[in-house]
Amino acid sequence: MVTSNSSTPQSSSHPEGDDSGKSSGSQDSNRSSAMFSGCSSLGSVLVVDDEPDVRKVIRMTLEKCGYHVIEAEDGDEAIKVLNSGENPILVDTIITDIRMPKINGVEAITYFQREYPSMPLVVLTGYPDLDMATSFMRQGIVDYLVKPVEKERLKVTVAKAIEQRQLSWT
Amino acid sequence: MTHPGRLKVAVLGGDQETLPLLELLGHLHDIQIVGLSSHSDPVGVTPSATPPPIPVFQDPGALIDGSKPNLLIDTTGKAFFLDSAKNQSENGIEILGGKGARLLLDLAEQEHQVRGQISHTEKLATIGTMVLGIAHDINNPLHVILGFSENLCEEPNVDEVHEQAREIHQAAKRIITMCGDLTGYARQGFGQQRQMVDLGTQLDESLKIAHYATSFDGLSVIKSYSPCAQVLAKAEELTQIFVNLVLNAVHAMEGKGTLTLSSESSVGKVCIKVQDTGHGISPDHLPKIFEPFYTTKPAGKGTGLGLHSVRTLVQKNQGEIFVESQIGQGTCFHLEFPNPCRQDS
Repeated sequence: MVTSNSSTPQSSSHPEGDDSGKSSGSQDSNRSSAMFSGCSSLGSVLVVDDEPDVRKVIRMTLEKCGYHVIEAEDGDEAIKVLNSGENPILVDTIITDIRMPKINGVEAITYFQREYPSMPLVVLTGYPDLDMATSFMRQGIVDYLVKPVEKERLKVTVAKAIEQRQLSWT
Repeated sequence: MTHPGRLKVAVLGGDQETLPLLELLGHLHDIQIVGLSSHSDPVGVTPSATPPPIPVFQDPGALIDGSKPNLLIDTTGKAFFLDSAKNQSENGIEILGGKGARLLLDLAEQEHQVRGQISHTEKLATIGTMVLGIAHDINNPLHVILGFSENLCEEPNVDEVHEQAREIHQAAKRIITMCGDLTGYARQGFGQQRQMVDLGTQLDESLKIAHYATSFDGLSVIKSYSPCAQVLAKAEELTQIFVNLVLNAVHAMEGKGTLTLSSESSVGKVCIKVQDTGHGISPDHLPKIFEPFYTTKPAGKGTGLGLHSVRTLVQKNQGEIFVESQIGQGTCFHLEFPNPCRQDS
C-alpha cells in the first residue's frame, strides 16, 4: 500500500516547506516523525478548507487517530498537492469544504472525480443544504458532513473512506 | 423656494401626530409644504430637521401671512385655530379641518404603517436569503468550538489546554459578532431618531451584511468614499437601502465582475453610486423595476419588493434614486440626498 507505507521514498514528490503539515510542508518529515514515535500512519488525509482554525481542529483529531494530515486552503492548492512530484497520488482520501475562494470545493470535487476517480471524497461543510448533499452523494462521495462534526463521526467517516481506498487497490 | 404649479400647503397643528401626514405630503411632487404652526413647542417635530426646513410659526395668522398657502390643513380641531383660519377662506385659501382633516391624518398614519411593514417584510425576506450563508458562517466557528472542547476533556498538556481555550474563545466571539450584525439589521428601527450618518461607514456596513447573503468570490469591490458625505437619516434605513442594491448588483454579476461603491458631497446634495458590471437591465424592464411585486427572478427567489422598498426609503429621507443600465455592461444606481452640511465638498 503506497500511501500507508511510511518508508516509501517519496521525497521527490513532496511539496517543499516546513513540517507543519500544510500543503507546503514536507511529507517526508511528517512521516519520519510518525515513524520515530513508533506509530505507523493509518493513511494520508488531504484536508481542504479556507479556515486555518478549522484545518487545525481536523488535523488534531485525525493525527491523534494515527492519520497523516496534509492541508490545503482551497481547491487550487489541493490540486497542486495532488499533482506535485512524480507520484501524484500521495493521499488516501480528501476531506473538502465547498465554499472557498479561488477554485471552490464544488469545482474541485468535479476535478478530483474526473482525474482521480478512485479517490474517496468526503465533503465537510458549514452549509446544511439537503439538495446539495443529495447531489454529491449521487456523484459517489463517501459522505456529506455538516459542521460542526463530532470527532467520532469524523473518525468513522475517514475510516470508511480509507477502507474504500484500500479496496480500490485490490 | 416655491415651485410654480405646485399646491402650497400649510398645516396647523405640527406635533408628533402630524408627522405621517407631513411625510406623505412630502412624497407628493405636486405638493409643497410651505409652513407649519403648532399650538405647542414644535421643537422635535421633523420639519425643523428636514432640509429644506419648513418654516414654523407660533401663530396661525402669521403662518398664513408668511407662507401664503393655497390649502390650509387644520389638524388641531380646536376652536381657536378654526375661527382664526376661517377668516382666511375669504382670501381664497381652502381650509380642510374637522372630520376631513382627521380622516386625512388617519389615512396618512395607515399609509405610514403599511410602508413600514412592506419595508420590514422586504428586510426579513433578505434575511431569509441569508439563512444558508448564516448557517455556514456560524457552523465553521462551532466546529472549532466542538472539536477543541472535545479534546480538552482529555488534554493533559496545560499549554495545549490554554491554546485551545483561546481558539474556542475566538470562535465564540466570531459568533457573537455575527449575531450582533444580523440582529442589528433585523431590528425594525422603531423609535430610532434621525442622525448624521457617514455614508462611507453605512456602505461598508451594508457590504458586511451582504456577505452573509451571498458569495463575493470572483468579484472585485472598489470603494470611493468622500469623507464629507453625510446624510441626516436613520442609519438602519440606509443600511437596508444599500444592502438591497449591493445584493442586486452581486446577483447581476453572477460571480464575476466589479462592484463599485462611491459617495461624494457637493453644495446642497450628497450622491451615492452603486455600480456593477453585470448583465444589465433591458429597456423594457427598466421603467418597472421600482414597482411593487415586479421581479425578473424565478418564482420563490424574490418578493419583488426590494427596489420598491429602496425607493420608498430613499424618498422617506428626502432623496431621489435614478438608474442607468446597459445590457451586457452593467447597471448603476444613483442616489441623491439633501446635504445637511450645506457646504462644498
